[in-house]
Amino acid sequence: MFKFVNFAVDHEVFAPYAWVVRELVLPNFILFGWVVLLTEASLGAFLILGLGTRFWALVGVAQSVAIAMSVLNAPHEWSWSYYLMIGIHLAIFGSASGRTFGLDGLLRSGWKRSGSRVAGLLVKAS
Amino acid sequence: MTSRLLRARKFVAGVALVSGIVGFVLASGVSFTASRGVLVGSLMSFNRLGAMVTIVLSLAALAGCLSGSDLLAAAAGGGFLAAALLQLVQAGSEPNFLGGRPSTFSFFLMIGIGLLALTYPPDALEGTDPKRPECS
Repeated sequence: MFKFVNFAVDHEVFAPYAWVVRELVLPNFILFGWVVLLTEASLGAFLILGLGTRFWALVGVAQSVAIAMSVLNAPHEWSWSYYLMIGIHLAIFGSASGRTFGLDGLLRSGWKRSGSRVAGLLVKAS
Repeated sequence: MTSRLLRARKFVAGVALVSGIVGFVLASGVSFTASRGVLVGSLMSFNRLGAMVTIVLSLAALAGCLSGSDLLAAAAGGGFLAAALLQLVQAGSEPNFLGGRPSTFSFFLMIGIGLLALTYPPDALEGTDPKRPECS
């Protein structure tokens, strides 16, 4: 991953993003690596479950944009793979697919009836 | 709705059980606690211990459903989350007791959260829905 993150600086796509990577990410790479690992693993787990689908779809869009801005100008990259990743996450967000094929669909009515703040957040996330 | 929740819980436990059995069969060629497990369908990886943990926990979840014990199903979910935590700490290093990788962490996380979310839906937590899932 270190190699691909370095592409953001060596093959700059968007100057402010390259600056953030150079000044903030690379000096704290261990922390950044853990955050990425947790985010990507959770992304897969929650999207497959269909739990909090719309929230995790937006996280997926952010993650895909970050990856695209790191490697889009790197050699031998096919830029459409990243546009498609962003598009698929947007499609999941737009269709709220967890309400049809996921736990959101099973639990959402209970969240709506519940008055708790967490349930309210889960309704918005689904 | 109740039966849908119950079916979903059984489905999640069933997915884990099948994955564990397939993993156990595929991992027959590596040592019981090999740090590098065997890939299951190009997704997660297990050694035989990791597969056995998956099988035991998923059987506990199914037994919780059949016996009507939400506590057992929730304990199985908690066990999967504990396995996820262990996998998160040990992935890519040695020793790696369960022979997994980050995708194995994601798998354990998915099963654990799925079981817990389906065992204790919001109505059940608040005690407002007498028709919450019963597993018998």
